[in-house]
Amino acid sequence: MDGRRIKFVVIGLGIVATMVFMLVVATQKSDGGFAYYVSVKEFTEKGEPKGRFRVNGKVEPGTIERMPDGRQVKFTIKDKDGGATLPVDFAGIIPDTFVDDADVVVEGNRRADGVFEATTLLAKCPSKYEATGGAGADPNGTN
Amino acid sequence: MSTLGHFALFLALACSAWAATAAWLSTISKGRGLQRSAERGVLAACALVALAVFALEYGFVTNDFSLDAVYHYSSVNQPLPYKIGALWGGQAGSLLLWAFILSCMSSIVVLTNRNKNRAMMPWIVHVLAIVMTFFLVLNNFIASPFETGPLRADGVGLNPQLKNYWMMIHPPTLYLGYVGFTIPFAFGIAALVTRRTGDIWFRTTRRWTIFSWFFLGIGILMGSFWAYIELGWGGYWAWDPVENASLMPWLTGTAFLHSVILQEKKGMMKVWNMTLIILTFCLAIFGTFLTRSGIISSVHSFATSNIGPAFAWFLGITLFGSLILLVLRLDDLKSEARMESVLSREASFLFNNMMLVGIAATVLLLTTFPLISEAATGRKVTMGPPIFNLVNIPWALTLLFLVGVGPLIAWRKATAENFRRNFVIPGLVGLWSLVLFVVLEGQAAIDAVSGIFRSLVRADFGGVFDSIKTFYPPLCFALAAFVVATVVLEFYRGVRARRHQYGEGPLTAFGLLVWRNKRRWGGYVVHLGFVVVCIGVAASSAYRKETVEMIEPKGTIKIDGYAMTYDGYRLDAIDDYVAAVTEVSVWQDGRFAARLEAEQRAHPNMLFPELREAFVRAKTMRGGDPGAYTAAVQGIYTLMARLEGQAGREVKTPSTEVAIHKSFSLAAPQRFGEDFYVTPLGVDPFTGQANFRIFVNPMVNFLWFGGFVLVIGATLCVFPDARERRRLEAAMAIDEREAA
Repeated sequence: MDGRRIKFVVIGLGIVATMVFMLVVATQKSDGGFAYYVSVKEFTEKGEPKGRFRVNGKVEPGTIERMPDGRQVKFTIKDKDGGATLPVDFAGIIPDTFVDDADVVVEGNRRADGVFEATTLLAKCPSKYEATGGAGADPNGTN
Repeated sequence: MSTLGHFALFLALACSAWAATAAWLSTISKGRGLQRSAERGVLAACALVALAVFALEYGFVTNDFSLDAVYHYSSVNQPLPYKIGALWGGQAGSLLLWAFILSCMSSIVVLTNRNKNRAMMPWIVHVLAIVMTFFLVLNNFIASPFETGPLRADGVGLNPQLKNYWMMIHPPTLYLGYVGFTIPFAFGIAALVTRRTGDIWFRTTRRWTIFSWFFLGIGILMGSFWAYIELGWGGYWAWDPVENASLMPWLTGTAFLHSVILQEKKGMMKVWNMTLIILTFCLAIFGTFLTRSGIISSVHSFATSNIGPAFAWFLGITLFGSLILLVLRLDDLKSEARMESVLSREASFLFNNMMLVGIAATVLLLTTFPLISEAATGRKVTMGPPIFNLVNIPWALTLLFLVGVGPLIAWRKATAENFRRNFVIPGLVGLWSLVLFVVLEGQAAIDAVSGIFRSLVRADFGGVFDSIKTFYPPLCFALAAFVVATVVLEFYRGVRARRHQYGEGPLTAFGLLVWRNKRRWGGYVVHLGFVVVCIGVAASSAYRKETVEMIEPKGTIKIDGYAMTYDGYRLDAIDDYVAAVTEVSVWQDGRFAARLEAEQRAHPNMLFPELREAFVRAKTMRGGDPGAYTAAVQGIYTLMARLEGQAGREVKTPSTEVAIHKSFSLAAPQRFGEDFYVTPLGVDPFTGQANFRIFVNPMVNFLWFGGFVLVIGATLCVFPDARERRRLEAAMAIDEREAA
């Protein structure tokens, strides 16, 4: 290999190595967005692991408790397959789509008192209206 | 109509499958009969898919709710443009749109190449027809847009967030980009199979490539614009899987557009270019797959379904098949020249390619990480936006630097003279901008530098990147100034040369300069557009201000030199939603700026008879006695609240209409291109008490303006060019001679 080629190889490897290095640094940062994605059931069954978690579940109907300033909310999420539940505290912007039974992903970790403290809250409304009643069915079952 | 649609799609599948078979057979047999038949098969498939699209649109426009697609994505009250656009609101319709665009493009290829490229055409048709067949199989057997259900009086309607002008044209634009890359891919594969790996394949498809790249880019920008004005979080990019899916093929496509210039001028990078076009096509398919399959959960992936396995197989076969073919043909793809110096245009293109592909690979890794980690360790790990930003911003800035260097550095080996001539002035302009920042923001700069050293001492590399962040925006501006200076210098020299040589006036010289070599000068304009986009992104993400406050009517919120007074609110029932419309006045630096209206809407679920009844009643009272009308709408809110407590299913779909005041006044230059952005988060329909989220986004309009510059530049690049045509004809003549 002549000198010129070595120069190119060194620069190329340098770029790749820097990229890999930055990836490693970025994922090691505590506030860096690295989080375990789990269901409510997995989260509650696997004890109290360290790190950040994104827990997905459904909002248990009737548990939403909004604080008067409109920027804090307490609620409970349940596993999509039923069973496990998890109380959640969230302070921040509450999305429009956050309603009873909405699919939510909360990010954060459990406090000492067992309540999950979420720093972000993503909510997706149940996308199909007829999800429970069957297509086009009368929701009240009166006719 | 649904029978017609079913039938048309099935026949289209038969035609395209025949086209694929006949094109392949024609490479074995003699005569052109089979190839002619294959080409007619493509045209017939196109006509039949068009018929299916027509049948489905007919269903949408005539409110045929027995069609599942119409039932799910349309409703009686939906305005006509959204009924038409609802075709691509769902998965089956989107796949039909894909097949439709592909069949149209394939037909154009067939019609324009009938009597050219005879050796490659069978393989080109073969590849195109296979891709088309794949999508038609999906449309016929897995996700048919013509599924029917019981007779229904009204439909569910399009997701309200999709009812937006930009969302209507965004998917087709993006799809033009995704689908368009099939054409250069097909030519590339045909070139490999037939061993005609010369200039023809990429010269013939150059305009297709630019066209696809352009629509993909504009589609991405439109998607960001939609997110910005519709989602109400004041931003436009969140590294969401669906966004990343469209960014990746754009990045590799950009790399391809550049490195193919090296093949054209120097006969280098042949293997690399083939790899890039294969990757770009696969990423385009992967992008469609990610968006449509919901395999990686995303806040705005609007689809989940069963097309996953089919896509995975198709993608896997395409990728490995193409790469194996590439390896078999490595001997034909020997480079005709070699890199001579690290300081040369060749090298700068090589480095820009490494970075573009590197960024694409990083984005791919981070986006699919939940799948990878689950397969490897059984634990799903997600990667959030901070990781994407930390890794990608430095490379994006380096790329910006290369945008300035690439077009001006000398081929082969840059000399000292080349540097003096092209880079001294732009370099000084860039440096001066950086110094200006350090002088203006001295303390921030000192803090950042000391932060870097303190983190380095602790070996806390994350901290280093946190401190470096301060320098990203000024670096971006400095590099932008550098690039703009190089481009202006080029234009100035070009015009001056023409004026000397032909004695033309400055405007004539400028016009002819651009017209005579559209690709080169159009490319410069595209670069300028990219620079403007970068400025918009850097300023609006680094200097953005945000506040959330709850106020009563007549209250005031202050932020960053702005004051917003909440004048009052009114309730409304229109189309298919009820709205609390807040009226606010905005003062900018003490001067009255604008009166704005921002709405919070709720789309009641019309499947509740009492809700539907209350809504229809309120609507009829519109324009009558204001007091009674307001009371009627308030009644709907009360009803929705009551139903929500007992229904156990969705009673309403909320959506927000943000209000934006754009500053373009030269009287306040520091606010040029700035947005004052208001989202009402919650409005009490009885008291009017409202929670406002307000953003001040400096220079965010540069982003959209840059997109406009990109449009101009790219349009110049795809214009027919006499010089390009001559080169292609010359390449074809050589090819014919060699074949004979």
